[in-house]
Amino acid sequence: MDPQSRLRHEHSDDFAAASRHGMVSQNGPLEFLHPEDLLRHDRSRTVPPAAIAQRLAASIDQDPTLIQSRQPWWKRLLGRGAP
Amino acid sequence: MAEPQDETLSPPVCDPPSGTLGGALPADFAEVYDLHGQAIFYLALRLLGDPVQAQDAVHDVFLKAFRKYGEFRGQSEVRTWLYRITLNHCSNLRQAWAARNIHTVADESVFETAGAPTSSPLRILETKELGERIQRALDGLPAEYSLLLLLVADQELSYEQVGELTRQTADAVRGKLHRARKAFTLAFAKTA
Repeated sequence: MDPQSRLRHEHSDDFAAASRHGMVSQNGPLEFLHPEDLLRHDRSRTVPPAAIAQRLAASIDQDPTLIQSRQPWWKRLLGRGAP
Repeated sequence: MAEPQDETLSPPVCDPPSGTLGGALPADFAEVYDLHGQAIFYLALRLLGDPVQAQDAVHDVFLKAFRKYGEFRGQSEVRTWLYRITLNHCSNLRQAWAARNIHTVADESVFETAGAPTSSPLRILETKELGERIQRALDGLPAEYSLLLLLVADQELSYEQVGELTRQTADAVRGKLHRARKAFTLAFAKTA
């Protein structure tokens, strides 16, 4: 790839992390060899809000259709044969 | 309009999740969320372009996955399966949105004929700005290109798996990836 066409990320407050994502740097702007390297870097900095897991846990607890799913498989197996 | 897609087609099979962590996610499913939550959130965020919608989508995707988790075959395919649910879910959301709104479609020929940027690449000062610029660049691409780049960016996916998710061969993925890279580089430069 033409070096001029590399994607640069000037602000580098985590060079160690950057080096794990296909970037090269010479104490200056970070350069991403490919767009997917830039996306990988962006993803590593994008943390899902904790509220999602909390909301998901609440949904699983409150959904009556999921009660059976929450039981261990062997309990469901034994319960199937019960009168 | 295309019919909404079944978002949980062909799940792999393994034991269902069991046990709970006192109101938190069931223990083994919490592990699934920990392993894949960030990747799923990022894909949803960049496909939908809206953090709030992405949060809703991730919640819905994992809820659907939880319901079908008992049919998993093995951990190695969980990532691909979750991606498939996410792609179908986001596709359905975007179709519903498109039905209510006038929208434009990027002209792929623009990227085919444009030359590579010759001036200095873009410079970014803050992470937030980087995310916004990436989003604008992705939004300016043909949907196929942006999806391809987002999936290839996940090093846990092979080209074969990317091809499976996008319904094409691995060779086709390789062929289109070059054009997708070029298109993104051009679009990203325009966000300066």
